[in-house]
This record gives sequence, structure tokens and C-alpha cells, in this order.
Amino acid sequence: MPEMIVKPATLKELWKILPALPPARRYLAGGTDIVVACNGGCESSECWMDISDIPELKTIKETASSLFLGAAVKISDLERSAAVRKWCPALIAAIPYYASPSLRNMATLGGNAGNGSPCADGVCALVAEGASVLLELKGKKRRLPLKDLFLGPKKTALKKDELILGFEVPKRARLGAYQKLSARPYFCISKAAVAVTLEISGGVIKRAGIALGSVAPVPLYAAKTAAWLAGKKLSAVTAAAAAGIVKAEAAPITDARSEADYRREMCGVLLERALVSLVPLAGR
Amino acid sequence: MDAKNLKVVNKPVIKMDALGLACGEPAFTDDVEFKGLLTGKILWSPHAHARIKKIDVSAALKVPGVKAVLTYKDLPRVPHTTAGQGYPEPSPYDSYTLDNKVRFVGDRVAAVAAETPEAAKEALSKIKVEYELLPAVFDTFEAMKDGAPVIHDEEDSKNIPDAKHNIAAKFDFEVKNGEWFKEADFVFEHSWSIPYLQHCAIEPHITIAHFDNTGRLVLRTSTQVPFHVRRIVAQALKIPVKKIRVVKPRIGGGFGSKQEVLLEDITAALALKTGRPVKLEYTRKETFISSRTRHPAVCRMKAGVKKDGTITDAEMEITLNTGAYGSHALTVMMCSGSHTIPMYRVKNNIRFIGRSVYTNLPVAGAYRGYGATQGFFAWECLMDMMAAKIGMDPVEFRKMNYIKLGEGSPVFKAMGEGREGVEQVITSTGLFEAIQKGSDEIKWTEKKLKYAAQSGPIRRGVGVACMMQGSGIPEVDMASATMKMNEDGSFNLLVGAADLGTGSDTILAQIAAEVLGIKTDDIIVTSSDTDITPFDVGAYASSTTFISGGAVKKTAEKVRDMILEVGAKILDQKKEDLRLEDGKVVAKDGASCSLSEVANTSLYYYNQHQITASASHFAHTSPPPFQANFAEVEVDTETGQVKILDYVSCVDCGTAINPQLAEGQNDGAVLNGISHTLSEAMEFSSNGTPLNASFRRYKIFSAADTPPVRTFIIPSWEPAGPFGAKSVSEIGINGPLPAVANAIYNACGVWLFEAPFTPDKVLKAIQKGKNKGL
Repeated sequence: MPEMIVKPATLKELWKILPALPPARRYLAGGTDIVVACNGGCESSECWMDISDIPELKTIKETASSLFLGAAVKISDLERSAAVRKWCPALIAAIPYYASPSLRNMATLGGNAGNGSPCADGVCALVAEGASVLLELKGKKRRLPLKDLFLGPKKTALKKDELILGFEVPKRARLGAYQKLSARPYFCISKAAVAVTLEISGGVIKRAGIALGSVAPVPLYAAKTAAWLAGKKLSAVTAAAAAGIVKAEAAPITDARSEADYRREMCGVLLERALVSLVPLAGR
Repeated sequence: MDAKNLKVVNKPVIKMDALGLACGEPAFTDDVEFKGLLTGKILWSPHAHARIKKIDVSAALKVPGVKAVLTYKDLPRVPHTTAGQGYPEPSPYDSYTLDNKVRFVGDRVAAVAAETPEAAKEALSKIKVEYELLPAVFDTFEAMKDGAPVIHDEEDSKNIPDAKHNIAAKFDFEVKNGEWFKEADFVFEHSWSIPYLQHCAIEPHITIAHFDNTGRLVLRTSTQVPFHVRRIVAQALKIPVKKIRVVKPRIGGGFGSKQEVLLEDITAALALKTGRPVKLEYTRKETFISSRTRHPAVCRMKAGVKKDGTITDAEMEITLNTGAYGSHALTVMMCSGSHTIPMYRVKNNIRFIGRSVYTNLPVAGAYRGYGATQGFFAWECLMDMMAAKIGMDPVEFRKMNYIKLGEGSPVFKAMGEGREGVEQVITSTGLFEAIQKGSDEIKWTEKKLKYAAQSGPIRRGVGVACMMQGSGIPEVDMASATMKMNEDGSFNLLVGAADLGTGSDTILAQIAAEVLGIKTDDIIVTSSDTDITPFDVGAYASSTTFISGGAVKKTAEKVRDMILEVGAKILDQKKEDLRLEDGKVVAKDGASCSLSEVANTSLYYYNQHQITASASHFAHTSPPPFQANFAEVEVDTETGQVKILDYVSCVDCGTAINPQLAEGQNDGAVLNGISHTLSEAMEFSSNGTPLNASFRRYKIFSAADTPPVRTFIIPSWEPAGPFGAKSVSEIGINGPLPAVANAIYNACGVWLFEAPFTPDKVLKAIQKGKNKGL
């Protein structure tokens, strides 16, 4: 454990106390990654800044065009939110695969993104939702497409002390699906995962969002496949063709959880299944 | 005979320690505080094979709070085995408490005792070791070749059959009745393999060594074998048995890993060196790497079958990887044949070729199933292959061939555990009923028909496997018990049997209570304290119910006799006319006196004596329990993912002394086996370093992953067992690998030969099958 854990009540207070804190410091949200890393001897900050109770980070807020998901909102609170159910179909589909119920009561999307893992189920779904991430550093705000936050395994574009405030998801009617493969049915990091969102009009895909988990150094936005899907009619034939394209887009590695070839193959299978699962919903 | 008229036995009596454990009462090894307790820690080898050229502990000794640092130079060099088995142990004497050579990544180098865990850790980091690196070998077949690195090149080890070829145990056996495979219409030959698997008991290995007020060494330890611990520690450290007391508190699971003297010797050495109490507890990582595992195995089987379903010949060649030391190397290998080959009648020829081979990998040992798991994976899959070829239903094929009541097998006599086995015939079996019940529950015929015509990527299938195990080791295992009567008509029952969470204290009390006509509440059980309880080999080889239960029954019968003697005086009746019922001595004419009156009379009034008795039990046979298991699976032929939809396990364990505990044991065994089947495997880097030594990376099935597992107890009556009982603890783990493999074949027409059946492997097999036009 670090020597110091501070818990600012507001953002203002955070920026005020920050300069006086020991230099080796990290944010603590749900703690489900950082505490485990600490117990495993892989985390040795002198100071944790507990941002789990900062009000701005704990809200789910609707504006005219978007839905804001605070970085410190618990995954289980997202699951219960009517607005999230309405506007984040891929995220809602991913939540049952997200760790375990007890961890979902602790974990947050901010932590999920800040951890920078290519396997993060919540992040993968949000990338497919076309989310932006809102960041703040000492009162200075900026916004990035979420997919651009990730630079490599455990590497993000976050500057030192920069805080994830939350995520903005566009309020556009769409369908969403999430497919995941892992070593055992539940509570397992994926071998491969696919998140899909589709905006559909008259049976035709107007816009698609596709993100792949565990098959690249980052949660991968499958831009080519998404672009190809736009303008196509949603059907089993389209799904099969998209599967072929996405396999070329993934960049998996072989590691303890799976082999690269298998992962690549699975991107196709999972995408096809995700798309096919949305066919019956497309007419509604 | 049957269990109909029993009053306490065959009833779901509540496990006697359940409430206390559920409420968190201090019960386990680490739940007691000792004044001045030191922390013990071990320095582990980072190399797979190396000789210690120099070891310098001077800096470690200077760390504040460090009380002792031990290396091989400080301890007697005594070759012994860590396997907690009957004496003389059939495992090679190839282990030393500390040695000048390390044989796997995670082998002992040195040990430290310090005032705090931090000081102990710091001391470990300050031990300077200079190694001479030796070539290492990780594959059993490589290890047996001429010129392979010799892992046990020391001169003083004993009972290694061929150290030069790294062979820790070997056994060949043949029954020959004519030319091999002459009568067979079809001959099959394949190899099945099982990887390194961990027991994953929730309580890690832990020992506290302290001293009593006379200076005797007391080992409070999480063990399945307290009496073997006492003997082996005495041997390894060259101290008299009388100077050691071993206490087994409640245990948080063992599954065989605690049939091992793993920490007791080194903890005792640290306590003796410092004169202080010392605790040594494994972390989870240490449990994965430096405790014991299942023996990885390659099992090649070749068998012949006639078109009419007669099995003509069977050959099993099993090569076990015993890791760096040969703990249980011979006996696990023997059981892989002796518990499996007799399952089916083989008309002509039988051959068994067994090798246990040293490699520079973690040490294998006893693990629930004990070889039978490895053997049945092969045998039961082969059974389905043969059935498929001759066009017979796998269930019918098994019914035709399984060993029937009154039948024996030459294997029983030929293959014992370390010595010749015993001749035996089957004296009880409920296998036919188990197969029927299982077929009905899984809807075998209906589903076979339904799944014969499937299309689409998701395919379903059903599979069956039958198996047997033993009930103790015949003419090797012995148990004993002592009972004494108290004033209120209650009894102390002292047993050496080691309840490791299995509920044996409860079932032994049930057996005694049944004999004495009382409730289990009136029996106070004390188990496994080498100073207090009589001898028992310990909890292994599925022996406790059968062997220890037999000892308790005999003891209670002696006590009953003594009670009736006193009762006869009190009631002025003939002893023969009396019986024990509802806590009373009851005469034929209805006259009665309470057990407390009997106790008080014996203790205070008449011919004063303590009503007490002891008895021992060993057996000339090891009656096998039987099982029929049925799995229904769904195979995703595009991802290779296998999902178990339903799993039915029908168990003939004779009389279930406590049906609820028996069911629980079997559910656990089956789930353990399912986890082996679908997800578990230890992985190693190319230099022998374990890669997934944590629950984060080594996946066992959690509650959420658990598929429906349905256990059905099929009663039979074993004449040699207490109230008709046989064993139940291990057998269930042998079913899932073959039952699921057979169900996968039924679903999509491919065989799997390598556990676990991960999606990657299953998909590869399916694609290979497709290329062959399946």
C-alpha cells in the first residue's frame, strides 16, 4: 500500500492539493486494478488520490445530443441506469461479461480506461459506441475520441496527473451487441471480444461502430470494417462478408490466454454473430 | 442386506463442525496464537537444474530480527521421501530436507526464521548463492534417453530403479492367453495426455512448530497424514519419534496435496535451531510451484475388439511425469492401471507398461483420482471408439463388458501399491442401476436420436463414462479407534482418521452411534493427534469410510458388549436378551435402564471400571465403488467453445453413511474434473519457470461457471464395509474428461486427446476433422 491516500471532496480541492503530493502518485477509482496490482507487487506509488467520491465524476447526465457517463460511476450503477440502457446498447450487452457482480459493484469505466488494457470489456464497448473521453488537468479540459486515448498495452495519451472526467456518448438511436470468448464461461479475461453498434434506417446500416478487445495492443476501433458496413443492408450475407474484413484488421498476439491465429479467426466469428444477432431487431 | 433399518447411518446428519466453521470459530492451523512466534520462509531456486557451488548466509544473519538461516550444511543428509505413505514407503528415497543441488524452479535452497515476515524476506534477499548451472530436461521421453541430464546423480538416494535414465518407477505386467490381437476384428491405438494440474485447496500448506513444557516438539499442521508426518520428520531430522507430537486441526482442503510431508521437516528444523515457535505458510504462488501437482501423463492404449462387442486384448502404456522428485511415483502409476484395466473384461491378453520419469519441473504427488484419472481418460475414450466402430451403443457396449458381481481380474493380484496386490472379486455393485438411472436422467436414447441429425454451427451431444476406484489399500492401510463412556451416557471417540473437511468425524460418529443405539450428538470426536488418538494411516486412497469406519464399528461393538454386561447386572437379565436402543439398554420384556445409569454403575458402584475399548481394522480387499457418468454438451464448431449443459453422476458407494456429505463429495469431485476438462493447465516457459502460478492466470471453475451437476446415489451393500459402505471421495473426478470427450465426439465427430479441451484446441480438432471430410 502507498504511504499516503488522499481523498479530495471536489475537483477544485484536487487541483489545489496536487502540487504538494509526493511525485509518485496515481488515481484510485474503484481500486479493482490498482489494489490487486499493489498486492501483487506491481504497483509502488507513494500516494493514491482517491477520486471515487468527487461529485462531477459520479454523475450520469443527459444533454440534448449526448449522454455523459462520469468516470467514477460504478459499473453496476450503469447497468441500472435507464438512460444507459437507452443510449449505450453495446455497453449494456457487455456488462454481464464484465468481471464478476462483486467487482462490478466496485469497478468504474474511468479506471477501466485509465488502466489501458486492450482486454477491457467496458472500454471496448464504449469505443464501439463512438464515445469521447473528457479529460482535465488542473482546470484545463480537453476531449479526445476514446479510441485515441490508447497508445499501446497499458499506455495511454494521459498526461501526468491528467484525470478522466467521464465519457460522452452520442445520443443516436442504434443497436448494440457484445460477444466475448474466454477460458471459462464467467469472470475471465477475454481471448477475443467484439463490440458492435449499428444505426439503421430502413434495413440499411447508416453508421457502424466496431471495436475489438484482446486482439491488438489497444482496444481496437475497426475503422475499415465499420466504413465498409455503412450503406450495406444488414443481413447474414453482409455479416459473413464483414467477418472476412475484420480478420484482416485485427492484430492479435500469442500469449498465455490464446494463440494469434485463433484470435484473428475468432474476430470474424464473433463479429458475424454480433451482426446476425441484430438482424431481427433491425426492423423495429 | 440393505440400509433400510438403520437409524443413524444412511441419514443426512449435520456435519458436526459445520456451524463452528461457518461462524468463523478458530479452528484451522493458523487460528491459534503463539507467544514469540517466528516467521519461516524458504529461498527458492530460480534455476531448473543447478548445483550450489557456494552459499553465503553471513549477510542474511545480520538482518535485524533474523534468528536462523539454514542451508544443506546445517542439517543431516538423510535420503527420504516426502510421500506420506505406509512404511516402508514405496516411493524412492530421493529427497533431502535441504540439498546442495536444486532440481526445479521452486526447489528449496535455504530457510530462514525471523521475528517478522519482512525481516525473513529481507534475509532471503541477502543469501548469496553461486550456482553451477546444469542442463535441464522437461520432457519425459527426452529424460529417458541415453545421455539425458541425470536429475538424481547423488549416490545416497535409494530405490530409484534407473537413475541414469531418470526413471523413478517402472512396472511391466502381462497376462498372455494366445497371440496378441489375433481374434480382434478391429484394433485401436491412441495416446491421451493430461497436463500439470494443481489441487487448489483453499487453505495453503501451513505448519506451526512449537514446544511443549517438557521440550517436546509439537507440529500443528495442515495434513492428511499426521502419523506419517511424525515418522518422516523423525527420520529426516534424526530425532526420536517420542520427541514429536503431531496435531491436525481443521483442514481447509487437501485433495492429496497434504498427503505429503511438505513443510513439517523444515519448520521443525527452524524451531529446533532457534528454540522458538516457528510458522511456515505457503503463499498461493508457492502452493502452485513448490507443493505438489497431479502427475502429467501420456497414456497410450491399444485394444482390440470383435464385431460382437468382445474386447479381445488391451494394452496400456503410461508415462508419468513425476517432476524433480518421485513422490508417489510408483503408486500413482500402478493405480493408473490397477483401478482402470479391470473395469472391463478382456478376453485374451492384457499388458501394462508403466514409467514414472523425473524431469526438472514441479513435483507431482497424490491427487484425488491417483492415476485412475489419467488411465480412465484413455480407457473410456477408447471404449467409445470401439463402440462406434462396431456400431454398438456406447452404453450397451459398456453394459456387456463391465466387471460383474463375483468376477475378478488378474490385474488385482498383479498390481498392488508397492507390493503385489490381492486377489479379489466384486462383492457389491450397483453399476447396472447407475447406468440405467444415468441414461434415464440424461434422456440418453432420446437425445442420441435427436442429435444424430443436426445442422448449423452449434452442435449438441451426449457422452458416457463408467469408472471404479478402490476403498483403501488392501493389506497395507490400517486404522484404529478408541472409545470411552462418560457418566451421562455420552462417549469420546478417538480416531487417527484425518478429517480434512470431508466430514469423516461426522460419519465415524454415525457409525459408532448406530452400533450403540444413540444419536451422533452423544459422541464427542477427537481426531488425529499423535499423542492422544490411536494410529491411522491417514486420509488417502479413499480409505477413511471403509478402513477407519471398520475400526470404529469394531470398537463400538466392543463397547456395546461391555455396556450390555453392566446392563445385565442392573436389569438382572441375561446379556443375550438385551439390546441398545434410544440411549437405553432394553430387555426383551421391555425392562430398560439408561446409558447414564450403566456408566454411573460402572464408574462408581459395581465392579468399578471404565467402559472403554480400542480396535484396529485392515482389509484383505479393496471393494471398488462404481460410477456411471453422463454429460450433455454443446459444441460451438466455429469458436471451439464447449459448454456442459447437464452432467449426471450416478454413484454406487455401497451404503452412503451420510448421503448429503457423500453427494457433496461427489459434486466436488465432478466439478474438479470438469475444471480439469475445460480450463486447467499449468504452463511453463522454455526454462521451466511456471507462467500461471496464480488464480488470476490458472482458471478453476468458479460458482458462476459451474454447470448443472446432478449426483444420484445408487445404493448397494458391500459385505466387507461398515454397514455396507464403500468409498466415495475420489472416484467422481475420473468421469468428466472421458464423458465430455465422448459427448464432444457425439456432437461433432472429433476426438480430443489432450486435456484441457480449450476452445483453441477444440477448434483445431474440428478443422482437422473437416479437412478429412468429417
